[in-house]
Amino acid sequence: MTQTVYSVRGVTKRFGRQVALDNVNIDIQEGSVLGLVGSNGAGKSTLMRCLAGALKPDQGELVLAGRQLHMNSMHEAWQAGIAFVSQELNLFPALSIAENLCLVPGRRGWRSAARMADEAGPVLERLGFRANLAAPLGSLSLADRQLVEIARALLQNPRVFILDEPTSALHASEVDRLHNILRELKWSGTAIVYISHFIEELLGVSDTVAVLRDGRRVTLPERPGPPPLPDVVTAMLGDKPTNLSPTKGGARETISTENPLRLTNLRGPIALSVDRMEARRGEVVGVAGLAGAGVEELFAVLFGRLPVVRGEISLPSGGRHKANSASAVANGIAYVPADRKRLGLALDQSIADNVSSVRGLGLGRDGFVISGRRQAERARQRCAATGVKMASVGQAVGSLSGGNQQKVVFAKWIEADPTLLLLDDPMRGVDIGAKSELYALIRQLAAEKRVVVIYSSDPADYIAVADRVLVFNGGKVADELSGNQLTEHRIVTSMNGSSGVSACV
Amino acid sequence: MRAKLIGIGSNRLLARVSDTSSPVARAMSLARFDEAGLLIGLIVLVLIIGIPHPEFFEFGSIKTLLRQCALVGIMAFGMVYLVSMTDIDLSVGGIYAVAVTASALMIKSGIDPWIAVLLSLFIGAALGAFNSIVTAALDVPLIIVSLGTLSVFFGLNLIISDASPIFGMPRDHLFFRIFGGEFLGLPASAWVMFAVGVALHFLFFHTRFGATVRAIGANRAAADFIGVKVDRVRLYATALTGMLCALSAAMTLAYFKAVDPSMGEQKELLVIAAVVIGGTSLAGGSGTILGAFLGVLIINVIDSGIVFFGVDPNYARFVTGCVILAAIALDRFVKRRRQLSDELQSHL
Repeated sequence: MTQTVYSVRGVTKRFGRQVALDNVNIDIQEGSVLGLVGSNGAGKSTLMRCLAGALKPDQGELVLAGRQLHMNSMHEAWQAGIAFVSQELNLFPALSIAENLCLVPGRRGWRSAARMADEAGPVLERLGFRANLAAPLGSLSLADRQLVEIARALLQNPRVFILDEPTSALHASEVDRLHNILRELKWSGTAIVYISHFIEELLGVSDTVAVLRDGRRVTLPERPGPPPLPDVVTAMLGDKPTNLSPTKGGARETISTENPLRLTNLRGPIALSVDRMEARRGEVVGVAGLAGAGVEELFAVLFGRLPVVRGEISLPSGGRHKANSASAVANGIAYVPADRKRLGLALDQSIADNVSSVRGLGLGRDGFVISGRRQAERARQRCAATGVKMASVGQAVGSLSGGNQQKVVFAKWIEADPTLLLLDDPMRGVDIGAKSELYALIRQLAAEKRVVVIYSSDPADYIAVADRVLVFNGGKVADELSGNQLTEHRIVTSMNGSSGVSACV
Repeated sequence: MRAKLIGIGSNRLLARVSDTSSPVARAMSLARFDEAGLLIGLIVLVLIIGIPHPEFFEFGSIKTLLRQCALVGIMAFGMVYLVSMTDIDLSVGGIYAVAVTASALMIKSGIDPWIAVLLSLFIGAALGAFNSIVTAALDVPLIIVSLGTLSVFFGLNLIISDASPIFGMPRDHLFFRIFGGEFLGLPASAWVMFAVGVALHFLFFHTRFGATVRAIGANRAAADFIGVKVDRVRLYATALTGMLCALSAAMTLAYFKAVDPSMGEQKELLVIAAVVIGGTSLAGGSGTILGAFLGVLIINVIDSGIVFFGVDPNYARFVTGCVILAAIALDRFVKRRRQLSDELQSHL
């Protein structure tokens, strides 16, 4: 019988009025892997940050080896023997690999890089990582950097090892290697918490599975052996009515067969391989897939940020597709990016400046001399149409809430009157009220004879807006769901579909 | 009209001013405009010098001051564009030197001064464009490229001038009489600076080119994402700055009617200092021509002050630096206070 080394007892965490974690109990066993599952916003990352000392729970306690912890920082967690490898790499690209391995939160003093290299050698070799440790970290691929971060954590001989989405950047063979290491680590007594969107992969390595939904722990049906995938998906999503599509009524008659977006025998530079895909005007087509399944690459290729290796793209505007974003914009393609702060908006500039940027600067449709008054007037109308709540269009965009910022992004693209909209996780960081307004806006944009292609990290969004969903896997369209088949359950199961899920990146 | 004048450089402010209706609110917003801190600093400096030395306010010294301002100011207005898009051109002094020598040599060889100056403007634009072409080709920051071209251009200047002064300009030619003289009581070069300032202010805030420069400065990645050709915009901006360096050089030549091979040296630091004092953030996105103009005035007023107070030349540079730091500190202090009160208001 294994022993509980780290336990979470009745932990509750609120952010303002929102309850992120509601009386969560979890026991983490010595020498065992706990898989933690939940959809976006279920409270996974909040729980993890509590476990790793980055957040303080409002109620409840964390007990490590019988001793109650009162951690104020991640440093203290590292000192207590809790290692945390997060999605966002905490590494220094300019320093050498060996130096990065020395820099551990909470450790004082300095070990020489040469000594560190001696120690790190065997661990890195076990991870199947071969590189000159004196080389700068920045020269490594994202996958290799992730391995360095994992190696750095392992070098501390942690009692509890928390991994958040450790495989999203790894190749299938590297995932296998990582899993083998986790098994070895487990046999030597370490307690491991493993969080991943790749549910099938997670089930393969976990001894027990904990499911979070809306901040609460959900119990899985009792069964001998590890839980099967459908049970986990059901627990994650809950028993929601399956045909919930409030805004989609009456969309059919607006679908036009003229000038659709059509991909034929398309090959991207990495893994993308689409033999045939069509999206018609008036239609909202969802493209679902796990990280590395090819959706990001599809968007990048369509918007001209990655080259087409082979095949053909015919655009709704009828223009010739070229591999640069300037001609993509000129060809009537709009792209609402996932990284809103970096690519979507100039936060310090005014709402008016942002709304008129694509039209006035990208396309030059406002001529050389720009009338600030006319621009402000247009922005005011556009923002009223998209429902931006603001004091004035002269306000800096950065002062708006996430949902309103996203509406400004929509407004600026609508100003360019696009024929094809690529929506890359448009509901990220958007509150529920703004979400339903954005759903309606997306439906309306489609109804105005535009092609809308949407990716979302929350499958519920597809149910709300998409007419049909193409599920990507390994760079290919693996499944198409529409009508009654279009349920969150089907989408998630299908995304996790084939074995060897983590396709090459 | 008044609101427009105040609103120079700040859309946020335009909105705020247009929202206010009472005269009190208008007066309050006057004290809140972006360059208020600079203006206060300038007035304080002027009073510090002018009260013990009333001759500072004499027309003659004001004319001299403006003439000196024009030389740096014309270049600084171009630099506002570059710094606003987070680029810095260190080679402006070099471009100035090449332009002044080249036009003097051309005039001496018998080319009509008008044509010589026109050609020197093209040379300036070409040297500025060269910086951008290298920057785009090597994919390194402009500041690094121009660190190299700074020496290349000064070196070029020494080669073509043979490191010796150039005299013997046709002083009676119309070009020298117009731009070396005065117009309506002020030096012609000051009028040129005002004209260039107004034109570049308009270009910066009311045209597609200016808006693109500001958008690149505010978020380069986002600008690139919507199809803005960042490299091309920088090419235009450096060419513009290079041409302005040559224009400043032409004004110098018109006034002095002679060229010294050391002309233009360390001008880049003055130009950048004026732009930064003028509130253009090195982080990009914000910047005004008016601010740069005030920055140039501050630097030159400090210079005059050192002369009026008879500061030991050995201390002059030290004092200049300290006063510049004080001016920047005052400006940031005023801006921060305004930010705080903005935040306070938005919570109410």
